[in-house]
Amino acid sequence: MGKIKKTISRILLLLVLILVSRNLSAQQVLLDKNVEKQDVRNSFMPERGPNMRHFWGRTFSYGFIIPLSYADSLQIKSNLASNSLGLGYRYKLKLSEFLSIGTDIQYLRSVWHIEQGSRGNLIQQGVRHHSQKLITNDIGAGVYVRVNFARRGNTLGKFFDAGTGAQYVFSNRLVTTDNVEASKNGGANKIKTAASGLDYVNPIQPYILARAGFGRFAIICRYRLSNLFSASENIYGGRTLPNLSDLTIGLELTTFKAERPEPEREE
Amino acid sequence: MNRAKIFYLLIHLVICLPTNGQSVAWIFFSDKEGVVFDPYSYFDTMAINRRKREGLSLSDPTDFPVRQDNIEKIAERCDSIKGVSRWFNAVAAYATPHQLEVISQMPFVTETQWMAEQPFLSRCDSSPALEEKEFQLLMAQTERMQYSLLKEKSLSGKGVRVAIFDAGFRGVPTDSVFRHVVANGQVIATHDFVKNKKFVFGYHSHGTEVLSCISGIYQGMAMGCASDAQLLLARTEQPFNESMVNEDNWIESLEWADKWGADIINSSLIYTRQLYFRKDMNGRNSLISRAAAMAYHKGILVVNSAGNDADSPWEIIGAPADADSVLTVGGIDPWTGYHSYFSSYGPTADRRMKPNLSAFGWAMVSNGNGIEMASGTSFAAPLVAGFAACIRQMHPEWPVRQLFEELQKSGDLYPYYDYAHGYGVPQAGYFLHKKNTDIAPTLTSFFNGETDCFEFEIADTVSMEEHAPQKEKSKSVKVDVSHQVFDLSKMRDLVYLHVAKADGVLKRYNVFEPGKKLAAYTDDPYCDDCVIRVFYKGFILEISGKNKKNN
Repeated sequence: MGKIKKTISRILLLLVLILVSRNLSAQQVLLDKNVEKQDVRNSFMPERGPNMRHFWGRTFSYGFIIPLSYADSLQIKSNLASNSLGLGYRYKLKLSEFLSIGTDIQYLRSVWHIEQGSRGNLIQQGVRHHSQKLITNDIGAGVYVRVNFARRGNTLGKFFDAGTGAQYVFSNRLVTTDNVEASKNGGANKIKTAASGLDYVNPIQPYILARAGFGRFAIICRYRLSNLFSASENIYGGRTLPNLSDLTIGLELTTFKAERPEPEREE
Repeated sequence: MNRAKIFYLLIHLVICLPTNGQSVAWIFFSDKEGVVFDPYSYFDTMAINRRKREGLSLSDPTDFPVRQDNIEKIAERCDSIKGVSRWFNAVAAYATPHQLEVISQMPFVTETQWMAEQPFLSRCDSSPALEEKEFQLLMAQTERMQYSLLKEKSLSGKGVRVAIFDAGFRGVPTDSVFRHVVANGQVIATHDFVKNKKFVFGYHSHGTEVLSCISGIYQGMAMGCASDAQLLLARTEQPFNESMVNEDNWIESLEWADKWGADIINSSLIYTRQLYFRKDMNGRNSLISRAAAMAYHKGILVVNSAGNDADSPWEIIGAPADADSVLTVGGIDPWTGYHSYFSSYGPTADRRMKPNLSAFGWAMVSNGNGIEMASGTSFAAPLVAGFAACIRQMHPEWPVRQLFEELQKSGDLYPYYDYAHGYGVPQAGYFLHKKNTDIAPTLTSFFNGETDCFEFEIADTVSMEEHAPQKEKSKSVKVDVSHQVFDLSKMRDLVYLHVAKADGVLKRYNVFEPGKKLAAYTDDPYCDDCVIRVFYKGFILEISGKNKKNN
């Protein structure tokens, strides 16, 4: 027992000596600046950046599908529950201080909450569900022209974009929920039905857009040019279904990694 | 409603958002022919006195009004006029690119320039701290500049006009910290350049905090040195709606302050990456820096904070702190005694020394609703502005150039300098009994031929023998003193070292904490025509190339 204590004491003493000796030999440099490396004239002006020749950024958008009333349209609920969530990647090529062009690729997930009117809903004519929503997942690409409005440093600044593109719907789903009597349905008082692979959803959705940006944030306004649906022999008497709202207004956030202007920095 | 109409309306709305009222441009005119100018009716008496002191003409064409017919012609061709600058013979106008194109073709228009937007307010953090710590800070923030010596000589900025440009002065009339300011009628004029009215005592408390570092008195203790200064308060910024704010407010405020006879202007505002690139920070590229330089040439000392970007990619000072005639103030950490981690570094893009001076980057401030601890070079600048007001009171006859130079010389590091501290913290003792010219040497140096190094030793201590790393052509600093316990209100005994080229531009600089350790400087070889300077306890050891030379 005494031997173990002695060994532990020696180890502790050794540790203390190591710590003390390290402290004695350490340099106490509080500030060390190499001005040559900091010289902005020598500093590397990045090719990439929000106000540089090339810019890449990730985009996140959330928009409300606006319940517009057209005579020939299928109604969506007016509570702004219908929405569109987007994730994308953006490239911008600066042509001049005030003009740029660019391209986007993006994934969009859109949900339309379809109003169950007095005639039921048009997809399944005469049938009224408790709720019904159409979900589409699509990927797409677009191009845009950007006009900037004020002088700025290496920031996105204030801009207006006008663009166009197309989305490809790679999956879709129609989900309906009905309230039912539990006694007749095995104890369930709600039945949810999901139908996917709908052949009446138009797979190609061209659009135009306008974007007003304030730095990383932008108000986005996207308008679908085609009908959401296409004709199918299996529904609506072989005719094309009335369209769903084609206007989305929302917010977009652009994120990117800030470039350091110097090629290297002091520790 | 027709779908196309709805879409058209929405697109129109989106387009209008960025364009409506946000494209502001400066339009510069060729001449001021035919205008009538009476300096005695335009200027305040103090402004006239200042011009006489500086030997300036009272009929300087830059003070003449802008031709009204030019303004009217521009007003007809743009959306609206936002501001007018006599100094630059220009108007700021809301215009579309097409309108500006048309305007630029007008015969009396010499130049048009889209205006930079978005100011960058220095940050203001409050931090819960121990009461004792707060008390110590409150005492030290002025005493670090030897406030007690100023007080002994009854120097408190009396008769000196200080203009403060900020985002709002909320609570000043009711705050007990400014009771004496209100009671003595020290606020001479106010103007809100954002809303174009006189009321400035609302909106934001940043200006209140800055003002307290110039004139505040908390329970009998001075928060700034110039409690008796006359004040001109201008609201130039709108911090919660930065997109609507423009540099023109700042420039208009300069002319307003000039008209009201300001001796000193304090601005704790910095314009950086939102508007410019780092290479633009040369004192010439931004209009705001040129305007600040013009104010100096009209006899006004402009004190500006260095900015809080040292720990951001921007890293360096912004505009207008880059102007050579602006007294740029960096922040030091009261508890470490050297550079605050956030205080922006110099030099300028064209390699001039900045900042010029330093003061505490942490201070006790009043926000109009009580005092609190706050950080940022926003508070270092007014501490120095208040100090400068006292020196102006002491020497009303000095032209602004002399005031500027003497303030620099009063720095506790002077003539040593670096790009983190400038010449250090100004000291009242310099003005009252000048610096002690008989400073005892605290350092010795010798060239060690074996290691090809310069070695430095602090004279009054026992040096630990330890060799510098054996790097060819490298030099070393050897310091060795006992552990220091330092007083916040006094300069901490640290070792400062810089390597300067023949033209004075620094290659490198360091701050060392002296202790029972070797501090060896072993980086890249020094050039033979470089000068190494080491500062310790007021003594500067200077070595040129391989020749030792003590001064």
